[in-house]
Amino acid sequence: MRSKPENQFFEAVRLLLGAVVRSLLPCLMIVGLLLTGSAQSVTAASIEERLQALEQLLQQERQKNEAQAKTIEQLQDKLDSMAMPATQPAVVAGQGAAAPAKPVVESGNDKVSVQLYGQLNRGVLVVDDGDSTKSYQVDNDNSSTRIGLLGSVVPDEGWGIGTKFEVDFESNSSSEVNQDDQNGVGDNHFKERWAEIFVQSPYGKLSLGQGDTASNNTSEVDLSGTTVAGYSDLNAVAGGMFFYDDDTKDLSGTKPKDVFSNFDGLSRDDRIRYDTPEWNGLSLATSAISGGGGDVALRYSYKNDQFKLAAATAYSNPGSTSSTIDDTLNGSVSLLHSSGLNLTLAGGVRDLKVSGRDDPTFFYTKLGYRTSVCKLGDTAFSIDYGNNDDVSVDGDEAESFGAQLVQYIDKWATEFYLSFRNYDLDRSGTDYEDVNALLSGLRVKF
Amino acid sequence: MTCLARMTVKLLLIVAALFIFGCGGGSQSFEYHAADDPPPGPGLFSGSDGTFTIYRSEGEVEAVEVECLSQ
Repeated sequence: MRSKPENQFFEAVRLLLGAVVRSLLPCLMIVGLLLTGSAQSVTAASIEERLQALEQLLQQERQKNEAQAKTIEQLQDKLDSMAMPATQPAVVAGQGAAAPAKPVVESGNDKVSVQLYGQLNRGVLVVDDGDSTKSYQVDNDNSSTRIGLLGSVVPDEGWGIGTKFEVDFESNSSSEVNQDDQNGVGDNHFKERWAEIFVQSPYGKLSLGQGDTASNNTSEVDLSGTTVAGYSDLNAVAGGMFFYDDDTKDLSGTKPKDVFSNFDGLSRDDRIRYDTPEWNGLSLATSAISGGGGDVALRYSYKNDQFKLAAATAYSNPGSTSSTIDDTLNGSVSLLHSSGLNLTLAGGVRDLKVSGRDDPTFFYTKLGYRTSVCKLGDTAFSIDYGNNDDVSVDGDEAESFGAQLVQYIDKWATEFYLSFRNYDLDRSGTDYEDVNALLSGLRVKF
Repeated sequence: MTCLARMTVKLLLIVAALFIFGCGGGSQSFEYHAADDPPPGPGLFSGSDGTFTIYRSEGEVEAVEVECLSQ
């Protein structure tokens, strides 16, 4: 059915008006909003400021929370480490080479120090006994290959306790090899040097166990810088060799170590030792060894801008621990000038238990010069002379002279050394040839 | 008494005189290292310390860390 024409007209007008209203309505709303917005602009700005302030507060709170979380985490780590048993070593894994030097082993005591130290000292020894010349691979007995562990507690009001454990391992010791025994000399095991506990106090130091007696090293004070190549212990270079007897055309049964000695007190032993506090560089020590012997020693050191001086002297009595030695008086002094020139003197006299024997004597002197001739490090030169009388047999005259060169290689913590030593023995009824020894090698402190 | 023994006694007298001289004041002592001991100073592997520190007190550890970081 078709609509009437007037109805169609009204329908078209209605549609047209509807379209106009729909198109104008958003414009009217925008105008309305603009009219009302100008009235409320102040209020919106204040709200925006408040919102910004609230956002800042929230940000600060977040930062505080993060800092607190970190603190809690750190505290938790500390609690965990405190709960760890003291004897359990901390495992360090994945540490790069650039990581700080944190201790690998941790202790429950935060006032202790434990240090490992040591050195290797190997050389080649060539010896001419007047009949033949032989070479040996040796451990230099002037300062043997060794390793040690030093522990101490940080002193509290001057009181502290510590331990020292040190052993050496000399394979083919330079003082033991000889013409008949060129290889495999020694028992291939560690030998005791130190195993002591000490207590340090304002009243001095008390040491208990294996270690230096008070008189040890009192004949060996030496500031030359060449001790790794030679010092008053003349037997260290090649003391185990046999003298060649030109009368019998054979090796004798006598070695340099039988006729040379620097009378260096009671060496190292199981002892109890007391050292007084140092006073103006002066200190006194005494020790009692297992078996009844004892000793007393004075030590002194001094330095100023021009020179350094070190000295020591001792009286020792081995008691029942020796069947031949009654007592010994010995000492040494060494002076080093700022120019590098240095002079060392040592001497001693010994009283024997055997009646009718002459008292053995010992004398030693060294003249040295320490300078810097290359970039590697200091260079030290020295010549020395030693003399022993009546050590083994009355009438024995044993003489030794030597020359030493030590080149310090600072970058490698190493010393290169060259040492020559001559041993001469005059004994009635014999015609011993001199023993001449050349020792060269490296000492590396690790 | 032999010549060398007399020299020894003279040596000891010199040492005694030095002691007295040292006790007069104005002296400065130093730590002497025994002739057969490892030399003082750095080690090839242990560095400037000359020893491997297995453990030391916390204050010293912090000092070492500072030293390492500054290298």
